[in-house]
Amino acid sequence: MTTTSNITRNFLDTPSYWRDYPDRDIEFVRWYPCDVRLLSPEQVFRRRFAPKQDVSFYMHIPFCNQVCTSCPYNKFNTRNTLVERYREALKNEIDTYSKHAYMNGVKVSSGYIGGGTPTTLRAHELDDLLSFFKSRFEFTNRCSITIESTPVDIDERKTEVLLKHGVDRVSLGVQTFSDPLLRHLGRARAHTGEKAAQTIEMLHRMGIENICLDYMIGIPGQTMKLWEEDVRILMQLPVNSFSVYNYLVLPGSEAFFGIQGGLTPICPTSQAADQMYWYFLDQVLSNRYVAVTYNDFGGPMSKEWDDLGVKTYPIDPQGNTGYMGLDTSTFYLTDHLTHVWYECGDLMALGSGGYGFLNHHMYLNEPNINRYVDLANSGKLTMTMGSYADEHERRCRSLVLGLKLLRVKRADYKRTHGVDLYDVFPDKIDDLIEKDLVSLTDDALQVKFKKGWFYIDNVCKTFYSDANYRLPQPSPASTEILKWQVRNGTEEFAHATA
Amino acid sequence: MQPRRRIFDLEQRVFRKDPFETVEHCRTYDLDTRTSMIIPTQHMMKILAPFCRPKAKLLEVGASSGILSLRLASLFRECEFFAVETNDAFLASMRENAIFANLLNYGGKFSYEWARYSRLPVATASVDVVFAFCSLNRWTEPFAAIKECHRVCKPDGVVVLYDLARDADEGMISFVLQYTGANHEQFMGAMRSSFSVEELQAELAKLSLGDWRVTREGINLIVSSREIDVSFTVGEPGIYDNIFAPAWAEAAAVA
Repeated sequence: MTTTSNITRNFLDTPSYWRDYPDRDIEFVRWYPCDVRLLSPEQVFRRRFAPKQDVSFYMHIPFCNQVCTSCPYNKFNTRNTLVERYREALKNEIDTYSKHAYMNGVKVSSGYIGGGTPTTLRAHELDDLLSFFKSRFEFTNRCSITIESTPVDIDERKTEVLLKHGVDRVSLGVQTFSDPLLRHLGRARAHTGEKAAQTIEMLHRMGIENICLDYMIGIPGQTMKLWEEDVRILMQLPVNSFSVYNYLVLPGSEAFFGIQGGLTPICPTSQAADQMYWYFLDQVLSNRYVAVTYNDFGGPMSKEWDDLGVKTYPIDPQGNTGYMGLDTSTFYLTDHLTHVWYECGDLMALGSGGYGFLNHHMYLNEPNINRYVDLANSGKLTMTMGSYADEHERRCRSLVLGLKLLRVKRADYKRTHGVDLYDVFPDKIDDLIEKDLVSLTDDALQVKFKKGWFYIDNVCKTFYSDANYRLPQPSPASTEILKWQVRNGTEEFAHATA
Repeated sequence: MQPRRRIFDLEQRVFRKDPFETVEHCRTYDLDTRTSMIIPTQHMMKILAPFCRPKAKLLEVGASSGILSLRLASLFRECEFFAVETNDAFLASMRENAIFANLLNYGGKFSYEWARYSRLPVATASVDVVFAFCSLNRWTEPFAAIKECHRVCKPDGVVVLYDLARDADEGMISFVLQYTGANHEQFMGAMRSSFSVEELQAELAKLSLGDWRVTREGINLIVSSREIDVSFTVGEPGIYDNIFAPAWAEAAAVA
């Protein structure tokens, strides 16, 4: 008999976008504020709100050679004419930003090129795009740039190009080293566990110093035994960071019909997936890897990192595990997280469906790829919707997103907002302490290990403002919401509803 | 600190006539009930399962493509399902589904007919379960139809009407709207044409059916002629199960 204890919990189970403690919220908090409306570049830049500062960037390349069966992101199969038009649009968007008064004298301090699979672009296309970017913006000396790839969409030529342009980190969507599980994910036939290992070795040999590996928990057919093997392999590889994500099945996806029709094995139960997660944590943290967020990890700690001044902190100060977390502000590979997530720093979004945060506005670029291309090629910025974060919303944002990093230092918060975090949110913090989800010291507000980690999204959402309470995370599909909102846009930004 | 602004224009009910004008449109909706509407579909199946006893007669009013009745009929083969629909395009779609189910020897008892909901072709007090799934919002005479549902239902039977709740949490509406894709027009049109809990309670009272229950669950509204369990929590038999596995029916029946 099927019982509630052996059913897979999934993102779209109802009511999935908001659950109050003691129910565990599993919506992946990644943006704030959530109360999005039509937003035009004119609104974002009508006057300067934010101080002049370095900017991070996120560039979205929505193409894959093989679209995975359950991927929820904004992407298309590679089609040459579209890729070419898109690349030109990206360059035009970069050009428009570079000439904008708000960006005058601004340096790029870090960046992330995601997708899709950005390395589906050919070597000369990557070269052209990155050369153009570098010709239009000044980059800081220690600017770190990450690019996403799969094990089959990157080769030595592309790696040479990336190194030439200062891309020093490759995030590789390995997901698992088990070939049968890769087939259930709908990965390209050429993507095998062996191929993934070869690609990692190639990147390492070519001089990519920072290799990040993405793993998935909850894949159809995944067992604890297979997962243990994946974790064992992970710790033998020359990678210095890795992330673990929950597998997601969207209704109507190919994976959904595969599972419903009995063609694909069912996913592990939520309890089994949780067990895999805790096993993984114990394995990596007890081997001197450090936690960046509850699902991102780095290390193992080395003399080289010590020499760079990388600081860590105990994630379980009251316990005896000795597990450590990374002080993200002390490491050039992670300080952009501090900049964007709890200092409300500027993040420039490039590409269709990309999210950014500029001049105290969270925004989304036009998600419709053809409309995006037309807008960018006409010399316009492509911001479509978003939200202004006033002083209170920024104070909220610093904790909503900052606590994803497991700890917000009170001194950092005060430097950013001019006020101590406890003075802003005494009742909410007391309530979380009462529930044993966070601890507050003179130094920092910290998510408690393990209970607070388990409830990480509940913890983060505690700091939503009244205006954002019980609103879902925005997504590129949210542009549909705009068409039905009480107040529709003016002609000034009618492109959003065209 | 700013309080929440009202997000959607849903204060007043805006009735729209049946938007399903072509068979192709109905086929698209049929696919939706198996994908983007899979959660409410499973929810309704869970609500109805305890009443699907051997020999029970079930009537679906406004059965659209018939997919819900067909799924239940395949799981509860000793029950008799009868579906009515006013929309010819939906009837064509229902016929296609019934033919396909029979080709696969689904083994259920299912029949269907064109009918006006305000004059159901069924004897008084002859049906064990009268139900409607996401169709109330397109009924032209909803309260005359509800009166008919009451007439044909046995005194110890149950009427269950499942639809959208126009007064649902706006965050929840936003969330669902994100996943409706190209069907957002259909979803929001149905939402604007649906009732609030208070409106239905008031109308039921006018029909001397004030003892019927009106419950809001997520974005849905459930009317029942007597108290029944309409809860649906995380971890229910899920949308990701193999739908051909008999375990689902066993679990639903036990629940």
